[in-house]
Amino acid sequence: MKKHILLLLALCVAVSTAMGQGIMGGHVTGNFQIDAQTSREDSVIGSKSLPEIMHLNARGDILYTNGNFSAGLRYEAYLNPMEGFRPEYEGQGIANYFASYKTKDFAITAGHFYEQFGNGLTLRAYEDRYLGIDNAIRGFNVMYRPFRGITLKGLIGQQRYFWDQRGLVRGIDGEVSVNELLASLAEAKTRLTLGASFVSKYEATSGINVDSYLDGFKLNLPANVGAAAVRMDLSHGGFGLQAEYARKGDDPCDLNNYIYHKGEAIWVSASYSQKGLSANLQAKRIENMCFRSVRSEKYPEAMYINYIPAITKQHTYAFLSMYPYQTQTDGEMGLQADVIYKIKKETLLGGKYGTDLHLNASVITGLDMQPVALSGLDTAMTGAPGSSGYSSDFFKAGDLYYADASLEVARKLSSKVKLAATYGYVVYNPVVEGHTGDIHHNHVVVADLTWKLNRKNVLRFEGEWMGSDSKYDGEDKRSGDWIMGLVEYNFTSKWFFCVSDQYAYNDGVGNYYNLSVGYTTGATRIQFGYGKQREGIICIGGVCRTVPASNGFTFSLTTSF
Amino acid sequence: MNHSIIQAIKYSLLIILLVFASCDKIDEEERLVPAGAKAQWEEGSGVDDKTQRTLLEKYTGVGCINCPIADINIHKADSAMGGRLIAVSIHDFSSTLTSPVDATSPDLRTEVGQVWSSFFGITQLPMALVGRNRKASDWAMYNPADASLVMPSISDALDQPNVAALAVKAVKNGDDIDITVDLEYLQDLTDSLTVTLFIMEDSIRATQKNGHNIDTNYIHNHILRDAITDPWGALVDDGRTSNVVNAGTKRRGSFTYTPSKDWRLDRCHIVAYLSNYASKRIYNAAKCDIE
Repeated sequence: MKKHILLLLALCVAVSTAMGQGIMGGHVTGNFQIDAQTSREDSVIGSKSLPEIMHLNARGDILYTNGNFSAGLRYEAYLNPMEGFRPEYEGQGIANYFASYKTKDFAITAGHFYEQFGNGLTLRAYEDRYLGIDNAIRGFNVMYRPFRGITLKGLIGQQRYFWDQRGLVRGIDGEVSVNELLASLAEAKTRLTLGASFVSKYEATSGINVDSYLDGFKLNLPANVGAAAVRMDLSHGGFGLQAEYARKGDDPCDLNNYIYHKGEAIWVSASYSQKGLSANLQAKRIENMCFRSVRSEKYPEAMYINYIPAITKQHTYAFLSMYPYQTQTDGEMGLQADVIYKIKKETLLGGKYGTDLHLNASVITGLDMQPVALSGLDTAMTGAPGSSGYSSDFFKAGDLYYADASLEVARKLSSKVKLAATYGYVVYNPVVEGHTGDIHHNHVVVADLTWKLNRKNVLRFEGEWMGSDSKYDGEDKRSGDWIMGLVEYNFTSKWFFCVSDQYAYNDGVGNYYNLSVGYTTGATRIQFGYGKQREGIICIGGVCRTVPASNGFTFSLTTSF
Repeated sequence: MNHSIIQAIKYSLLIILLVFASCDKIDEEERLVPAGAKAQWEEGSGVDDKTQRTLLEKYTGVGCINCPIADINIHKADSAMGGRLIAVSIHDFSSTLTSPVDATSPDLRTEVGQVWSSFFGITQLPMALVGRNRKASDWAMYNPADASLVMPSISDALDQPNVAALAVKAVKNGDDIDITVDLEYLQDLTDSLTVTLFIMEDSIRATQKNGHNIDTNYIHNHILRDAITDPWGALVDDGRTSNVVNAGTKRRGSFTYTPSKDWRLDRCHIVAYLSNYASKRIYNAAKCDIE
């Protein structure tokens, strides 16, 4: 008891001293989010009833800032995880905490942190709550600017794996802004930034059993695997050129079937912009760039150290995003072109208010992989664990994975009515989702009309049609020809009401209706919904999550302070 | 360039060199390494003794002054458990405390000891794991020199469902040892199981630091000599045709092993333990002499 009283006294003294020094000043910010769903069995769409009636994902982020110091934590609860999120999330607790000190030229973080080197080819620790991804690193992260124009970063830690921490990641990154470093180029129109990074992971080698393939032997796995990258960012007026090249050491893992094969990635983006016009051309080639903290990890979203930037458009309309592209880290190559042009107003094509055109096209293929055998073994062992896997010609493309082209024309018809019409064509190879089957060809037409009734009331109508050569065979419920209608009414700036329906009218199954109503006040938004969710996948930046079918109520609450 | 710039570049290069060094290169001819003794699996005749036992792995060193106290604590626990505890002393290569104290002492370190030690993150001696249990997300490790920690950890390990009965038999056959492992599932299981076999030796005289003394006649018991299977075991071919192997399934695995001629086989024992392939948790263990 005496001990406790002494401890309490010491704490009081410490707190009062801290307050006296202003340490307890500062301010606190935060946000909360609660999502919940119910679901019942529906044999047509394949949804199942939930034994617990309701599933819930919730989180609260609290950030304390005081001058250069900040600290925060995040409390998460998955009771139980919503459909499509991994069951390993089940539970609740403090999932993320950190303390950070940051000045203009120096920053240090202890605890959980997110970080990205360049475009992420060697390292990107990030979180996307909608995908159920959280690759936060728990450890130390340091940034230092020894001179103007030079930024150095270093980090070490373990990655989050649901409620656990796994692996060991070390990395350094350096970036030089030539224009800042050399005073004579400070005002130059040409801007150049160069960067380089190196990331290494460590994983103790524990039994990878390949007995079934080669009797009496197992793989001698590298415990330390490194990846390095160099990058540049060049601009001159409206022109821009960004590029990054990365290489990775032999990294046998579950995804690449435990082959010993160097990884390689190149990503290039060229752009031009001026008033009323912007154009962007991107290209990439990825070869065996799966880089994960745990080599045996099977979940596609977990334990990734790096990130491969997507070069396909992130479509927002339902049917255009029905078959999103999922980045193939084991090998892919592709191109994307994107042009946005505004036809001037008061012209024949531009009309009274001008017309916006958005043209986008992309194509992604696999690599042309020629299997190779392990030295001294017969050719039956080609591509098997322990071998180099394959050889591939740098410029030779393999199977087509994905292609799409879309043209969106948006125009104000009057001061209150705006119409956006889109045509899209999508070619999709189910192999990117790990399935077999024929390549799909989908035509999509969208009409999106927004009618601003007055300052506080807006009506939106959306109609979509998709014609596809895919036919429902009992597996993929996205197959067939579809139509969709949506009406959304935003009134008093606070309420909204939305009703929509997607119906497979030919060669498919399902009638997916949804109703939702929401209310927003200040930084708080609350939404209720009821309807059916079609099974499929959602992808953000080429990283995807499977979404199972559901039929029931949804609830969402977000707020911040 | 001023002094601080040169210093910064020097330190940066040093960091880069250190990190670049963190990359292993494995030549093509070194990609495959022996995986230990192979098993031939067949239907078994069951196990009469359904006792559940556990394995206590004691990471120790001849230069570790507190390790002899741990030996005493573990010996007491062993006596109290009436054969339900199988202890093994492991000397790895990660510390100078495991190097022979003098030139005439035998080297008790093993490669397999290092594999386990690295995997479980052993950083100080003595240290023990019982049944490869976990405590939250970490391995449940404790200092066996603290007598109060020994029995609770053994109880924790044995306070788990007994999923399978296990028996091992070893018979000398010329220069080889023929080993038979019998399994009988006591529960329906979906896990993949492995059987790991190792050989350990008693009554080895080697110099040991003991407190402030150096004992040149210290007798080391249950010293790990070698893994007979792969360090992480041989997958049990349980004959399942679905995801589940049913309670009552009986399997027998046969192994052949050639021991080193440097060991006294009359003082050696063969230990088998059954563990979860993914989690590494040990479900049961058995020990036998070499006939």
